Amino acid sequence: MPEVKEQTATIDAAACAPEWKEILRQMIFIRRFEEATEREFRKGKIGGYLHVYSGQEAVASGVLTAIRKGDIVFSGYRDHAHALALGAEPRRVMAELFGKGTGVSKGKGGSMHLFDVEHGFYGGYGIVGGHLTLATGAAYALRYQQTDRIAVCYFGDGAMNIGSFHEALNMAGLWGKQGLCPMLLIIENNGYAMGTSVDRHSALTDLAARVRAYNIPAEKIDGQDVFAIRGAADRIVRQIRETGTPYCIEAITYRFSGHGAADILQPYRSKDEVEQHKHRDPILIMRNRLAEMCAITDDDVKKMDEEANAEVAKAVQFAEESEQPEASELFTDVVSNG
Amino acid sequence: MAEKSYRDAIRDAMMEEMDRDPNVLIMGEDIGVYEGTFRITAGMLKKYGPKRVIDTPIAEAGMAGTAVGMAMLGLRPIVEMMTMNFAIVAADQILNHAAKVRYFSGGQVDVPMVIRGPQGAGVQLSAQHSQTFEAFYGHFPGLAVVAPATPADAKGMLKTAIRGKDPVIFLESAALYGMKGEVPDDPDFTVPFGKSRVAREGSDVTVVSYGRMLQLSLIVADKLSKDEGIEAEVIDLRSMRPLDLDPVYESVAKTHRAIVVQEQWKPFGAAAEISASIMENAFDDLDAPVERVTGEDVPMPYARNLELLATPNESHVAEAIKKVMYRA
Amino acid sequence: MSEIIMPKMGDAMTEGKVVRWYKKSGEAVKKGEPVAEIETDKVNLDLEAESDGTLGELAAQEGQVVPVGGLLARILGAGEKDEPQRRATDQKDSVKKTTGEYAEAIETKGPRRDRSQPIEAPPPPATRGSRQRSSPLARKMARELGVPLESLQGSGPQGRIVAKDVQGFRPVEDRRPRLSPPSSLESKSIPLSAMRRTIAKRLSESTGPIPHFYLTVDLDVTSLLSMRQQLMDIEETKISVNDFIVRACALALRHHPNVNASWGDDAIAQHGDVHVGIAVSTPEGLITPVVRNADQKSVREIGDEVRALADKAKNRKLMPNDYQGSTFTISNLGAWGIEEFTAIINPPNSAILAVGAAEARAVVVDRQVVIRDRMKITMSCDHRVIDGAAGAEFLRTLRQYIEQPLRLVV
Repeated sequence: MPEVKEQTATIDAAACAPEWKEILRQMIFIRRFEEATEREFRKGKIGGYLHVYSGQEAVASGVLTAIRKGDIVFSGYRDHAHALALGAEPRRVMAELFGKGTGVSKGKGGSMHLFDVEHGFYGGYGIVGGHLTLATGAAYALRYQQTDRIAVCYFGDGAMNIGSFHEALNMAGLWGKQGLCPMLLIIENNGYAMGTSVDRHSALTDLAARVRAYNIPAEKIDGQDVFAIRGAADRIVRQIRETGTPYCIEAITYRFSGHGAADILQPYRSKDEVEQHKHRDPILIMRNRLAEMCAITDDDVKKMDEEANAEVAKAVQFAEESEQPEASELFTDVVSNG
Repeated sequence: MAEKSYRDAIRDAMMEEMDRDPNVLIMGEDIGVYEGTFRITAGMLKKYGPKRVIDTPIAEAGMAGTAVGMAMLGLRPIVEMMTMNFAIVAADQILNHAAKVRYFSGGQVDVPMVIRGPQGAGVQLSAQHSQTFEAFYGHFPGLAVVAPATPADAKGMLKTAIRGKDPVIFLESAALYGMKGEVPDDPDFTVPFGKSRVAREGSDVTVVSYGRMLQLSLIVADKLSKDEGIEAEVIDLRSMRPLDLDPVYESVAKTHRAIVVQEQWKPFGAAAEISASIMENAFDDLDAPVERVTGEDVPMPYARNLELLATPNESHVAEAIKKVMYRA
Repeated sequence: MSEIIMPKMGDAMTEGKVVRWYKKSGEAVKKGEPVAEIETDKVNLDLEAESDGTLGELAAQEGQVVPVGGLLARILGAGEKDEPQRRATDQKDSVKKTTGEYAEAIETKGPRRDRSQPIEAPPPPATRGSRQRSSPLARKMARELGVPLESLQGSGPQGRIVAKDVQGFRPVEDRRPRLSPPSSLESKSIPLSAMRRTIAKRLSESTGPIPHFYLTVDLDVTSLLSMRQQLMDIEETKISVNDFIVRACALALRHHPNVNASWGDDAIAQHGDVHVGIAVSTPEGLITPVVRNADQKSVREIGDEVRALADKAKNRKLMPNDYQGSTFTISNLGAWGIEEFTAIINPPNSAILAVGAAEARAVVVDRQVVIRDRMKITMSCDHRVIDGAAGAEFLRTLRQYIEQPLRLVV
């Protein structure tokens, strides 16, 4: 996994910068990782819920390669990609999914509660829309402490209907007026809130418009085009950092797997629809463009694939071989010791 | 030492802590320009400015949730809930987030925040504005829950709450805001959580209570001593979570009988927890079952007479004491 | 080589069923091709081959239920051989492993202290027939004091025995826990032993014909006076305290034949009947009419007889039969306000009881000062017949009858 770099100059979507290759590598890695988690779930190695990011990689990589070390990120429960993109060790993420003591959250969080504060990942939350207030408060704290760090908050289209979404965005917009809310909101609009499509769950389907109602600017961007995402992110992140006001990207994307591992039949959408969207696989789109721009070959990509698979296999092995948490860990971290 | 009101003790605690640590801030509805509906925050906006004394929209979930985020990043936010009844809408943020984030992150974050506000009934505010919450919050691991009954405890425990690393539910009582008491001047005077105190010594019966009901219990204890020679030992729990019942067990070893006095509904209330614990730990010392004095199991009515019927009063407490003493 | 396993399709799924195999062992399969149909709790679905190759041995047959993660078959690559043995399940994932560690966690956790008393052998059940309720404290006290719960009356709700019921029963001084009904007496002649003769000779030399010694006890007569009052209210007759004392002495003598006795040159005669003499004052002097077989008479009968005899005595109508033949004598100067005194034995009795006035006094009960009705009695004993311990034992029995006057009823 590539290190999260210091933010350099933004990269040109038309030029063949080395960063693009790294982004492709990252996205491929995320895809292979997610595929592996699905396999391990079927084998019974992963318990509870499993929500994979396959198909949405550009939304994570496009934004999270545009931020800086020190910036912080919040996400919902579809959080593996964000943790990995920020630099969390894949083997410790896999171990967390396997419920082992070596996991990033000591095995006490699981898939929905990945945390890696050292790399800026502040969770991993299981309540739809519950974390937006946390991100808003965190953003306030960053300005209060007179830093130029920003907060990034990912959430799905489904999270926009719950009460705390409304309260968070209003407060974000309000504090933003004073430059005290340097937060980038990312709507992962994959068309469905679990099994309910946007037009069946949102009175106003123009989600960006709903955000603007809180005096927060919002742009719709093609979430499958990492170049578009990264380009917008570069610009927007700088603006947020400079002004301390919040901004929103509505990323139009798609998830190839079910909502979670138990969502097998997916009665809310046809197999055809899913196949259609696979034509707009973000990895494919990026590969093709890089083939044009940077003369990347199929072999190059195959190599990336193999390396990704090898690293994922090592992560799985580490997770398998790790021990479950010590029984005494049951009682630690409930409250602080001091 | 100085004589202070409970209200002033709370304000002093917050201001002293804000002077001491620049990361402490307070937010709530109408606490700044309006200076607070109970005047607790009077003068604070002027002194500390709008970045540290934040007037929020009416958005309790927003207030509680943003406080969690602030706390995770190293600030020490105090959230004033206009009344604790209004915090019900923030339940998800408090119970699913504040109480649990440390645990499910494997200990990677502290959540040093305080949610404080008045609870309880007494002035015809009807069902939605008259509730108490020690049992509700006390049930959840990950929170600290306290209910000071005196100005000194209010000040000392609020300081402990602000200086700590964990989310604290700080339950005040509007009925106590005007109460006066001796409060130490020392800005480092703190009162630890998880330590009950014997508010009144006696040898005939153990009376366990907290908050507003503690003051009621003390009044009854005095009357029974004067009129009937009954000497009640009254114990102020101060802290629901963590809960310190050792002084209660020691008292019951001496008196052999106990009552618990709480304001609200009997089913699943705080008295049930205390009573069960006394049964578990002082079984052989008991000459009578533990008696619970509670409010009636109804939503709080508006009419004054019904409100009084619904809340424990002196005669309820006295009756309970005599019942466990097998006295008429 | 790749494996076809029973997949977990839902969070709670623990096993699934193989419905049918589309391919046979040894057949070629292509990646993505359906190989078997399985049934889970939610859905039937096809399992697809993950790689090209040959289908190996079928590890599960059609209709077989397989746990999640269980092997169904392998897909072998070129030149690969099937491994007959099943894949071992990963021990580290076993949930069973953790349950054994739970007890460990409780140990290491520390703060939760078990404050309850160790569970000892349970005390004998308080229930005998009907449910007897008692508070834990009352039971503990009863156990410690050796008071049987069945003998207690509970003053708490639904007859619950509470601490004060046990406390009320606590002995003020040492007493025998049970007093069995007195047996009947028979006339006996106890030959004098050498020791007895010697005691008699030497003591008579120092004191005179009958060597007296005296034992005094201060009795609690609160219950007795209360009972007397109740009876007088009910019967509307006069009953005197002494009437009770007469009966009490008579019953006590049945327990102590050695006091209901007389000195003889060769033997001590223990009498088979109890005849109690009552000292009566007349203008001429003292006389002691006798209530024969006082132990068989009720208090009222005794009272009637005593008054009749006293009348006769005052009117000089007493016959020898009336004043001879007592085995024990009582002298009561309580009516004159005498607190205590010593009386002189009335031969051939071996003892006489001097009864003082009953009055309210401050005494110590349970280390507290309380007001009780008290009465002093002094017993004079013939040391030739009765030793100190024998006299004391008689008084101990007498005390039980007087302090717990209900015993006089049965």
